[in-house]
Amino acid sequence: MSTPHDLDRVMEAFFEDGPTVMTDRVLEAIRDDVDRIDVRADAGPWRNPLMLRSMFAAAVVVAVLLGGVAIYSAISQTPDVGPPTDSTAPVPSDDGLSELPEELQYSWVGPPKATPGTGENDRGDLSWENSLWRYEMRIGVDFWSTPSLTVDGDLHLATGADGLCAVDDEGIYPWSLSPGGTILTIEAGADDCAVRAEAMPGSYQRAACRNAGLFCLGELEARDYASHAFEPRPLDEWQVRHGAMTFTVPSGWASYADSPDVYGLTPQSHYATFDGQDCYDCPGTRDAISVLSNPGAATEDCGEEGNVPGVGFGAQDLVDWLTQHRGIVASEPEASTVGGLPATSLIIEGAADWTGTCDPDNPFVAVPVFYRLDSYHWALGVGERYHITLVDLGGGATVAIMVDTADDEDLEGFVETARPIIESFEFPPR
Amino acid sequence: MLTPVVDRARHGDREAFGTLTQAAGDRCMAIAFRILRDVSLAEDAVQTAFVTAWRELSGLRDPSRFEPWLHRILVRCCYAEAKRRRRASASILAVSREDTYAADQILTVHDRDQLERGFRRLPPEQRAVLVFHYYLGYTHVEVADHLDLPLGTVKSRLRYASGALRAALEADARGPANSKERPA
Repeated sequence: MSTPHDLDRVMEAFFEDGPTVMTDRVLEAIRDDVDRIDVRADAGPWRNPLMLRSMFAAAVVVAVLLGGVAIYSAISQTPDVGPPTDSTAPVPSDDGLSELPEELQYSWVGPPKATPGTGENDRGDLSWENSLWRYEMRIGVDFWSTPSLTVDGDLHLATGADGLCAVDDEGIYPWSLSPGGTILTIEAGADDCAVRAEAMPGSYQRAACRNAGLFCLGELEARDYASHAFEPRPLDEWQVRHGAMTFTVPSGWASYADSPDVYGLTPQSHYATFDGQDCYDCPGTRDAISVLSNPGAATEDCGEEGNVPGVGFGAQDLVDWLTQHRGIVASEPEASTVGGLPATSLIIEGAADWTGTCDPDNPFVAVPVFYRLDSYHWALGVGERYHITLVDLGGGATVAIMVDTADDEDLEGFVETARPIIESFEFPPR
Repeated sequence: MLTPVVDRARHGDREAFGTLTQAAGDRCMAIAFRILRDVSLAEDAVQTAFVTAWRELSGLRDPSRFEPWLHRILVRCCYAEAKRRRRASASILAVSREDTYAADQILTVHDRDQLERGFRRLPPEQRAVLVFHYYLGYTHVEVADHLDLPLGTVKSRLRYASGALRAALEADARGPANSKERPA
């Protein structure tokens, strides 16, 4: 038996045993993780590969992957989103703190806040990563907190490493969730960290995209929401703008895409089997409302992937072009307003005598409709239909609100279902 | 010198970060295991620590301070793992370590077991201070630097942890209850 005064030697001996080498398996796992994470502060604008409708029955729509770089990390680097799998109830630890409840174990997005000494921020995002929350105010500027609950049920945030907050800084905040769990409201609280004290309070939307490679909110509840990445107005360099589009949905809807160029909504019953990766040969079918920013007239040669020379990008330019397109049968345009802005709606159908094809590897007959460089390429199959609303945002900016259905017979009915949502769209200026 | 490599990694050079991972990985694994007393948890903590370091590296102001900075992240990850384990399984404390440790001349197998139990009862914050002081051989000031703690906190945690371990060993020395567990 060792005696107490030998403790130095005892501890040294005690610590002698045990591994001193990191295995190759761990090294490989780290490499894999690092390879998936882009940390460059000068990362370019986020471009989502595509957000187009799925193909069903007789291959009707083509979506071409352009650019092919989904810089999801510009919003949140490898967020661990989606329903948690551990259903055990929170258990208080020795320090009286409890594990964060499952309904909070998500990533959350919100508008930027003015925080001391951090410059101009463009977002207020909480990314759930490895049981920590990373609050990001703009690319490369963030702080990490270990979240838990106090015995009173308040949110407890602790800092474990240097950064905008100091190690061992602690903050306590009251919080609440909306009935459906999609909106987190954090009230002002007490915090050792001044930046966190300014950053945390506010309202956040749950980011629970089913497809981890995309950014979206996932299932919604009946209430108002704001886009986070979608930018309806042309920009030289994309930047997060929370609330660039706002809308109201009834119960039973889901957000399937929120990228700089496309915002997508679909009924939850369709979202359940649709992973948001929307392309002509992706599995799954769905009814959807898709909002495209800055659409341009696509050239008739689907393989050319360009805009028609001489056709403007204004809403009326596009209406005129659609109604005169030899491959499209268009309904009479109807004037309306969306978000107080002038809009024009029409239904377009692929002409029966159109013979052009898309996708040389697996060609099918389709009429190219909208193309945007490095983003999306929409086409319409012969005999298939879209309901399109072109909204004039002013200054030459346009959005196209596309409504389409898995079963073309359902289009008119789904348009009526979608109409209140479309009428709720607003596009606040920058 | 790793400083130029750190600087390259700070600017997003994955190869440079891979070099750092290989250079610092073994020591991180050794530290993590000695705090957590569990290989699997230690590996998880090390992996999380390096991934976190990759994400946060651009915020490291002084590349020459990479090691203490990384150690702080690692210890934070160990705390998180320890917390997770406490919730997952309280019974792990009863697991005998006889099969994993070789006997030596300072500690009998039974002493080790008692020490193991006493060590596992310590909060991870105190375990970390013990590991940095006794295993890495850091002075109190160096421990304070690597764990970013006030010097007084390091001293008090060491004093408390050492006292708790001494008490565990003394109690065992006084009591005959476990004598039949002793090796022949």
